[in-house]
Amino acid sequence: MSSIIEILTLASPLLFATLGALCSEYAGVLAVFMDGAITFAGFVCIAVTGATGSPVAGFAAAAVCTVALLFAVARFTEYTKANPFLTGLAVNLLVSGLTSWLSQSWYGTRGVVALSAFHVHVDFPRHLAFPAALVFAVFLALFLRYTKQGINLKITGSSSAVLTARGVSPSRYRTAAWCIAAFFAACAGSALVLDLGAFVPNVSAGRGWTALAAVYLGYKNPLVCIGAVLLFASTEYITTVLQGFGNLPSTMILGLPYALALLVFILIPRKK
Amino acid sequence: MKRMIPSILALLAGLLTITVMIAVTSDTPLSSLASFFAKPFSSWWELGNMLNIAGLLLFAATGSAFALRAGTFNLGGEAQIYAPALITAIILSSASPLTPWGAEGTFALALAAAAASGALLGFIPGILKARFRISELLTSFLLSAALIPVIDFLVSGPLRDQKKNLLATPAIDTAFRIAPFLKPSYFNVSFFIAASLSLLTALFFKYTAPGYRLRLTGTAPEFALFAGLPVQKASVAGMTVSGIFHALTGFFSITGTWYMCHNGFSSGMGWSALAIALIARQNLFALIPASLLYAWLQSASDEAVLSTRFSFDSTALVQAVIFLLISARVFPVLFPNFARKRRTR
Repeated sequence: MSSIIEILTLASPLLFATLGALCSEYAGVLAVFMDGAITFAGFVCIAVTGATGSPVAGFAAAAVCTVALLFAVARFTEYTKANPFLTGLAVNLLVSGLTSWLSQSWYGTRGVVALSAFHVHVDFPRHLAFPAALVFAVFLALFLRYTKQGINLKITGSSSAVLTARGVSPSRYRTAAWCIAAFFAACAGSALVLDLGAFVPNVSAGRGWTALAAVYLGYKNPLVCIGAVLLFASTEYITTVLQGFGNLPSTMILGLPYALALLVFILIPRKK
Repeated sequence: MKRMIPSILALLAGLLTITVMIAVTSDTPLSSLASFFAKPFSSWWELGNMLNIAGLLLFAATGSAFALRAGTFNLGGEAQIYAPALITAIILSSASPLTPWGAEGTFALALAAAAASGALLGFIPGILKARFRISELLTSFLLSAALIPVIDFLVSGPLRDQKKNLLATPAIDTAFRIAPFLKPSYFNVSFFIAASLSLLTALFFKYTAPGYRLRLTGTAPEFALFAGLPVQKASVAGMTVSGIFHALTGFFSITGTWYMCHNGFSSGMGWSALAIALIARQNLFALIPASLLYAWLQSASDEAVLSTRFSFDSTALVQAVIFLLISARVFPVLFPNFARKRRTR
């Protein structure tokens, strides 16, 4: 039973990230920024939680800042007709530089920033994170299927000309998709750091890229994606257990999410 | 010249970002900024090392540009530098220069092995794209990200020099080390090899039939397909050759600069190479000046950050600004009237 709870806990940030990557994918933007967005949200969440003592304020600040950052990048991308793949990569690099700079200037370290250093203790409700992610997945599935905006979002990436012909701006939907992805990244980042009680550089540890793989493994369906995420989380759990037995070096564990994502991309059947 | 405007803007923006951050961060902003602009030219040591970095980055940047020319995007540069570097270090630290084939033979063997490993790491995403239509953007990055921790483990574990405290392989024999020109810096012949290879690659694309076909396939794949050109082979070739160029960065880093493979030494080099290739905007003749400018920017920001009271990842910030701006049509947005006039003229 404890294994199942552990797997569900591991799955919750990944499910949030996958839902964000899915929205972005529908809008025709490959969410390569997801890893950076999760790390950025995690940093903001810890900074504000440490300063205020309130994890709710931490999460709210993470959501606002991450949405603001990706909104700015999305608008810039749209206005200047920049390559969204390159601007997405820029987000990852920017977050890497920015968090190291802010962490060093505010806390005097480029390493771990623990909530205990602020004398703040947070009891993160781990058991609620996965149900919350599930609710979002169901909500997203209904939104994409039954609402006009959801249907428009779904066809933004594949048939943006149809939207234009109907007088709807695909650019707005693409921007909205970046913002929704940012919100889910904030959920994932906050869940990760509040559970750890600390911000660790590169806290996302490849979850953004694994989320992209989960989107394809879940055939771009929010509900099927849940199964894909659980598969990834189970594998992560098994490797963690193996690490505990000393069978697998801890350094190599860091590469497993990427290796697994690569394997998924190779093995999933493709349309002819 | 007009085509280079985004590159110039991106570089200037990178420069401005670092200047502002150093000025804000430093207790003595003037002295830090002086370090930023002048330090890389202040001594033979600084200048030589900057040119050496430019040469190392130029190999990989030529590889990134080669992939771009062939219509592919190589994001696996980090491991394509790191893995060949490890192979070079293993071969040259365990081999004796007194073998029957001599130090030159062993050196050539290490070079071949490093190039083969880089080629393999480029070939895998290339063939996955050609055969299974899996985006090389994802596979090259994921393969690299999966391999780097394995190499880190090997360098800091089984292959580590147990006699020293460093997380590094044993040093290579002095017979295998490339002698520097500008002592005490590491500047050596690898810079000129990189420049020659970069120029040869530019000439290959500009004046040879295979180069033209590869360029055409990269620019207009559907047209190339109708013309009967092997589009799939082009992506495999582009990625494989790109991997070989990245491997040369790894090989010459070990034989000319570090003399051992230490944990995480390639960190950021692959991204820097891609940034240089994007600055050159696929003009392979512009790769050499772009590498020199980028190496100056990187060395200068490193020096300036060292002179402030704390350190941060300045290279990542420069890369971020370049990646953000390089494909953006900033000029028409900032000066719409000017752009409109030029169009109507």
